[in-house]
Amino acid sequence: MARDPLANPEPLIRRVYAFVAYRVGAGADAEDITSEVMERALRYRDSFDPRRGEPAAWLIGIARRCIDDALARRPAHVAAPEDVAAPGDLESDAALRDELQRALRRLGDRDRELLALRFGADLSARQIGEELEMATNAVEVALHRALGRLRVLLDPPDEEAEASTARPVRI
Amino acid sequence: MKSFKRGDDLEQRLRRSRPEARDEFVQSLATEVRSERRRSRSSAFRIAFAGGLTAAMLAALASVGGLGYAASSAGNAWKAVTGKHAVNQPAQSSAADQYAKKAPVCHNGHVIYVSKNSANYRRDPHLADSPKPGSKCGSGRPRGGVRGVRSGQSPQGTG
Repeated sequence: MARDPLANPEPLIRRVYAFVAYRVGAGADAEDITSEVMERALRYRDSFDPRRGEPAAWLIGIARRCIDDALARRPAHVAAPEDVAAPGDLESDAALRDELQRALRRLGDRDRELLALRFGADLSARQIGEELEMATNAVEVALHRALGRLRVLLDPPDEEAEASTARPVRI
Repeated sequence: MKSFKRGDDLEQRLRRSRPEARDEFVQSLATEVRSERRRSRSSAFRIAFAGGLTAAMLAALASVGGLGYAASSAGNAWKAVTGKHAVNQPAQSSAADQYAKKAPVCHNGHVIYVSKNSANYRRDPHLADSPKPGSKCGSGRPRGGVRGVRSGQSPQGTG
């Protein structure tokens, strides 16, 4: 019999939650989706093949489908997700987290999914490539661009600085 | 707020700012997952136990059936070697048994066989034990065991 992917569920639940929260926002919705992911994982755990990847990557694949289902069910206009501060956070950290969440929500779906897979689920570029059916270097390039766009959202370039550094374009 | 400079530790910030699940949520969900795993394991064990028990019973029954098979195999082998059926066949049919053995009588100069239960049957002492049916008997005159046509007598009893 294949190794049980849910033998040690706590770290997996944390990773799944982090990924889901990066996608839909932290809070009750993320917890509901995480619960649904674990329920589906229990139901279909016989389908887990350790040769095809780690349990975390398998769970993230399930989570992506659960998120798609949840987003399809969600009404067109919803309130911004609540922000839940991690225990022990300082006020400045909370402010940074809040700002980051707002910037992430302004990103496109594809960028947000890539960043959630990389920094929420903590998957490698190779694992992300397997999940999204992309080449590893294509994932790295896409991640680099998504980070660039997030940087712009967090720290818009000064118009004056832009103007001073602007050079005439040779045509 | 300009918290992130270009080329700074945005990746580290993203990791550090990763949303953390509440401990209570993680613990309760993990407990649920563990109990569900235990439940499914015990049900799988029950199914395996029932299957094993059925297999053992079938094996026991198969061994008993195997003895019968061995006995019939020995009978078949005996038949193959000797060409005889091991099972005795009945000597006669049920009808033959009911109507008893037929006996020869002389009728119109020929031997015929009639049932011993026949009302007209009379034993003919001149006939051999087992004459061939249809063979001639008597002296061309009507003879036989049928009443009124016995050999050596006229049907009217004048001969």
